Amino acid sequence: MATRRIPNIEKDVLGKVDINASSSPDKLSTAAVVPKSVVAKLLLFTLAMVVAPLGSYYITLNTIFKGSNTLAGATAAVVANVVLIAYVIVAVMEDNAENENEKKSQ
Amino acid sequence: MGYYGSYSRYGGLTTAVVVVGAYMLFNGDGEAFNVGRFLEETSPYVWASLGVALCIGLSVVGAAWYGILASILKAQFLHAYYRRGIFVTGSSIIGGGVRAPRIRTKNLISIIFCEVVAIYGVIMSIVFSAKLGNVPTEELLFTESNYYTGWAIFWGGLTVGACNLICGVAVGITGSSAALADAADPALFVKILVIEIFGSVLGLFGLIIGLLVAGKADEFS
Repeated sequence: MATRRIPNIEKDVLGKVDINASSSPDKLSTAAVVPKSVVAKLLLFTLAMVVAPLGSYYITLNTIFKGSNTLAGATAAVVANVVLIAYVIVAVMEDNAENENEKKSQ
Repeated sequence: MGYYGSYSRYGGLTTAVVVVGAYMLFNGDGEAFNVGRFLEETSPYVWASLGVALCIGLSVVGAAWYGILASILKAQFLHAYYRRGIFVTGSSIIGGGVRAPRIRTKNLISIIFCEVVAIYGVIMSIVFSAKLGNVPTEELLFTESNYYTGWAIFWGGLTVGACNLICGVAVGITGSSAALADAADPALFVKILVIEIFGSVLGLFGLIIGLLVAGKADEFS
């Protein structure tokens, strides 16, 4: 029942919940649950996921592939997967770093 | 009451179709039920645009229904939506968050997976819509090449859309399992992530076939 701890946020627009929760330190450790860096990474990669494939489609369409939609579309799909793999790698690296920190603190 | 309502709706529709159809059939207008004529007289633009719409629409339904929207609505509607079995990923992230109260980057991987599914649909819709173009007169529109383009984009779009819908469902359910498994035992996460990657490959299959089908179709001319 996470909503009961933060009653004034309940009335807000839905999209604002995360933003408020992560930027207000007095709201019972919500900021610790969802760190700012995690939200920032998610937004960054979401933006990259939209911009990178579509950008690569339009850039390669008339320069490299000479108007071939099929090849440019395939390139865009590959770029989308590259962004996905980059996110997975970032997540695993962050996980490893946290594990090492815990070991050191112990 | 709901069951009776929906049954009577279907029954009324069927009865209306049968009465009108039988009237036309027994009064010499049976030729009006001509599937081939309908396919020939429908503008290729209709098929092409329907294909583009189904491609992006079904992809976004697959991605949003089972993934992204969940994380926006999770705090407010957790219980209502979790019991209905939709918005699976986000509600499971919070459900797991009660047990292990830390949302880290790896818990949100499934959201990026769902975004990939939506982006597949966007890419394919752009590829399909590149085939659309103005044809000056009606005689020039109803040609063999334009028929082929219209139907190729329709069925290609349906293929991509259906593939991405199922792919979004698969990725969403696997992602929710990954979130819950990670909350229970962090060692399980990588194993379920592998399954999730296999699930996201399903969408690639549809995208490849859509590209091949659309690749043979010429632009409207």
